[in-house]
Amino acid sequence: MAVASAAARPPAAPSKASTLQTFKGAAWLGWQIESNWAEPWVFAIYSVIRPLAGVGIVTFMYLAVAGATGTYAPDRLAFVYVGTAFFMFVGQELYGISQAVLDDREHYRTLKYVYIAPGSIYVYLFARGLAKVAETAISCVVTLSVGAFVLHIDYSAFDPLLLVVALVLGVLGIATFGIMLAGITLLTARHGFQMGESVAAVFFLLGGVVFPIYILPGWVQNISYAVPVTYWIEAMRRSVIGDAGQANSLLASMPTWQLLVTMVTLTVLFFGLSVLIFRQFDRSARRKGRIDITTNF
Amino acid sequence: MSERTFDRTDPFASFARARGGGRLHKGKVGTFIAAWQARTYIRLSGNREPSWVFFETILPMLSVIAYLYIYRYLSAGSPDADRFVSFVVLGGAMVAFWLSVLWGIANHIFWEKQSGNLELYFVSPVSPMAMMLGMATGSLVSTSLRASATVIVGVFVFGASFSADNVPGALLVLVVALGAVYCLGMCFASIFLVYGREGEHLAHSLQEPVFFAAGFYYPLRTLPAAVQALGAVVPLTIGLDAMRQLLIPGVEGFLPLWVEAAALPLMLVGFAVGAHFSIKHMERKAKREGRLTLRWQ
Repeated sequence: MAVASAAARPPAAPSKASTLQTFKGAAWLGWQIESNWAEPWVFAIYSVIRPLAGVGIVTFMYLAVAGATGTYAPDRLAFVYVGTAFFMFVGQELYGISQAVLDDREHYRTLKYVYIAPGSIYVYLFARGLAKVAETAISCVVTLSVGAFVLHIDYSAFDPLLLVVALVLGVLGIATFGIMLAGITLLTARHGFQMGESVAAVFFLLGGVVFPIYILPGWVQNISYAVPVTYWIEAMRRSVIGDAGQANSLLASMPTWQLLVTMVTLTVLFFGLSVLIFRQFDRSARRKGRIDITTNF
Repeated sequence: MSERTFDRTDPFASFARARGGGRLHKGKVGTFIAAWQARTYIRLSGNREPSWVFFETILPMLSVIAYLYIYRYLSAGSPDADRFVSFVVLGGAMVAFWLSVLWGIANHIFWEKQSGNLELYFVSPVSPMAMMLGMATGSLVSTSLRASATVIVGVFVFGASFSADNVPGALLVLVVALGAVYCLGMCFASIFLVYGREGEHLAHSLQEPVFFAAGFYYPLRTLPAAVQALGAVVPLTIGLDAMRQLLIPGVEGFLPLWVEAAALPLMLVGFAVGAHFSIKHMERKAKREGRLTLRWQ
């Protein structure tokens, strides 16, 4: 009887101390996994080579057009360059959080131990994703510096306060999508590692990252306005190059404070949604015995 | 018609007979081809999960569409815009093959090592080359679907236009280039026989940098000469440039078409021989250092 009542009792909510401990431990673990596979100098090169190649692609697209048409538009280069540089956070954080499930379940086979530890799995996954954010922050600084020194992109409108506020809000907002993906990943086989990058591709297209939203067909623009990344990228872009580029769209007429309020609202909304979705998939994964599964395909 | 029998005194006896009663032993060449076919079958039947079509075909296409919109933004109103659309569509289709080489061939050895299959490959009387050729053949089929989807969407939705006269020649170039690039993938795969996470990060770092250096989204001639030369090491670079010369009227290639047409078969043979020796060398090294079964690196 005592056993039955104990089983029926919901698990105690993690205390503040254990939440903090989980956060710190998971963030440290995430950083170690990301960085300790190589010597620091190799890791440093690795951290900047991909992002530089990514912005290199849009830069040479710009040069190809400029060469063919004979018109140079530095504001357009700044728009696509800065958008691409900041978008790295989206892809990396989504990948980092959802990949943590696969790494722990399939590679290290420790997910079941994370589950039976007294911390929150939600906090754990968020902190694992932060390791990717830290790595991306380094890459982003290098990329933006290259933009300034090599391409002479004008950062005279730089607003550090807006940058920090928007970055924090963005990291929280993107994490909610990462958690949703992590929930889905609990039920998928190992191929789920592509999900993060695939979902990032949706945001890349819809979020006004590398071209203004008005370029998209009208019905797609309406979807863009429902995507939090749209507002985040705009706020980040405004923090370094000012109010540039998003002409002919709702974003152009939005003052920065309204942009931030919209981001907060959407983040709260998607946080609630992510908790619901994660719980649903988590319950389903436990019922189906997927927490310690290893899939060979 | 003979019937299979089970001999309790010799449980392995049934292994010596094929289903029709014939001998299973096929000789060296026969075993090589049978293993090749078998591994191809697994790769093809393994791709039957419907969610893979969504995550591996439809979502990645969104990135290509985003690049198309970048050109619409950058070359707004320019008559060259259509030509750039054709450039991106062909390049976007090639991206699928490069990702398949990196993740479906090279990194797959790491995957097999983690799941415990790699040692089974090496204790079987089958050449690792046959296994990898099987993976490559299976990947080619499934990746061709994704690449075709990109071209179809590019032509019918975004108005990419190609010269129909040279399609047979372009297909021939494509086949040889793909043969060469999958052999290059087998060379990379040998690295994973010895290395673990380091190799995985190498695959990551060969993603965007190759998109950049191979000119997937712009004419190769836009790049500095040194980067062009570096990119030309990857057969897809040469193959893509040759296909653009054949299919997009008025394109000035990186090298004359006949040079590229002559270089591709040489690359195919070179990388095939290179794959053979690198697999042999790395297999020996991995066995000597006890790394074939090393997990959780």
